[in-house]
Amino acid sequence: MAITLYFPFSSITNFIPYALYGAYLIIFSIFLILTNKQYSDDHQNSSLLKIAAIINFISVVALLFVPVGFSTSGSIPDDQRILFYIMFYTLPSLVAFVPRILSFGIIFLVYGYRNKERSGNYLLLSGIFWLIFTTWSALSLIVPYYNIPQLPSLMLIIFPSIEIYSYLIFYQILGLGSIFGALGGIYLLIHSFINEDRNLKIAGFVYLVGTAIVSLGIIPQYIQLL
Amino acid sequence: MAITFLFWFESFGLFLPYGIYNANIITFSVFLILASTENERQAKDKSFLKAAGIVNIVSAALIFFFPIGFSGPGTLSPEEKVLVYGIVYIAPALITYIPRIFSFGIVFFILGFKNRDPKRKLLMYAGIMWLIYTIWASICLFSTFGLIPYLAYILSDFLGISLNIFGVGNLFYLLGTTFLLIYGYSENDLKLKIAGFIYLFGTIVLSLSIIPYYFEMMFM
Repeated sequence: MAITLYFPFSSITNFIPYALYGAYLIIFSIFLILTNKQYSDDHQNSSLLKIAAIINFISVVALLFVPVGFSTSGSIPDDQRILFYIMFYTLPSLVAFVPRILSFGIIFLVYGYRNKERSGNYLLLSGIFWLIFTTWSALSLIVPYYNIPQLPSLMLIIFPSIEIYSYLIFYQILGLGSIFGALGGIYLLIHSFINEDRNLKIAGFVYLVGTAIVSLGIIPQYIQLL
Repeated sequence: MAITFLFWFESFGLFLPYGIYNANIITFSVFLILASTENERQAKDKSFLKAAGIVNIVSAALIFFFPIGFSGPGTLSPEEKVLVYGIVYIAPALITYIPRIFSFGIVFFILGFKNRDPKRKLLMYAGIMWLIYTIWASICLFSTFGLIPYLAYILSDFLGISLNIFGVGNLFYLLGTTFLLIYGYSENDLKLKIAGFIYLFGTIVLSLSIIPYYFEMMFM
């Protein structure tokens, strides 16, 4: 019996979802660095934005080495198969979202709090919403490439007797977490429009548009299946 | 086995999506109408906001006359498929989104267009985004509850073509709502701010409204 692991760099169809996710997060982070440069003199703790960007870069690079699938030749014991599924359902989500708890949630919360007097509490609200969203995403095992919570599917694999309607209810409830991600992006944009901050304005749009179109990365896989 | 259409009045689980959808659209529209009563607005703007609110309420009420789903044999004849898709999927989508081309798209576009104040341009951007979204949703036959593009199912069922890209149109809904909220905060326009949040949260909560129906099915 041999087990083959598939990584984002294993094929073009695996790479495209990764590239879309990585591209929007890197562009977003570049604009955080530009904001840090712009505000290094007159905003408190603006270097936090640079730290957030660096964390995002490291997380994107680390994700390249996280397997996205596996295949086996010959039979594999059920407990081992379940272990592999647990690995493939949990690792990409944790590598993507645990660093983002810091780089989106905590950093924006602290930076927003420190600069509340100067530019209003919108960035603080962004940080709070992103903290909820990233923690929720890590716990519900959202796949960074498709914005889908994988925890219900993993539960179904571990406990196959779960009724389909329980699965659907669980799935619907976990999907609700995306509202917090959207609110974080919206408050970043409100901050940037009110404070006329061009770099954060672009970062906000990159975040919203990037999050919405990242799931299109799956299309080449559909075409291949056709 | 004959086809049976499922209507909102048959159970609480079937009623709830209609109830939440109508509550969302009617509350949003009431805030548009309230916003139209503010003295500092121009007369033309007032009448457009009021008309948008009324169009939304009429369109939301019409949905009650259409079934939410159907039960029937596992495989449908081509004639039955046309009937079911027409009544359950196509008509409700068109009744929901075609009026919104006016009440969301055109109205907000006009409110911001030809205005020297750069902040008012935000309303024009909201209008443009919603115009794209409502036209997209009408063509791709987005469901009234849950924003599911039924065109994908129709293409798959009738032509065997599998295309799952239509959902990306929801991006324009999000951007339109974002521009309305940015305008609401920039101009401190409380009523449009509340309208924006109602529309945003209402759409999200709507997807949860199907849960009681799942519970009903579990205990059947």
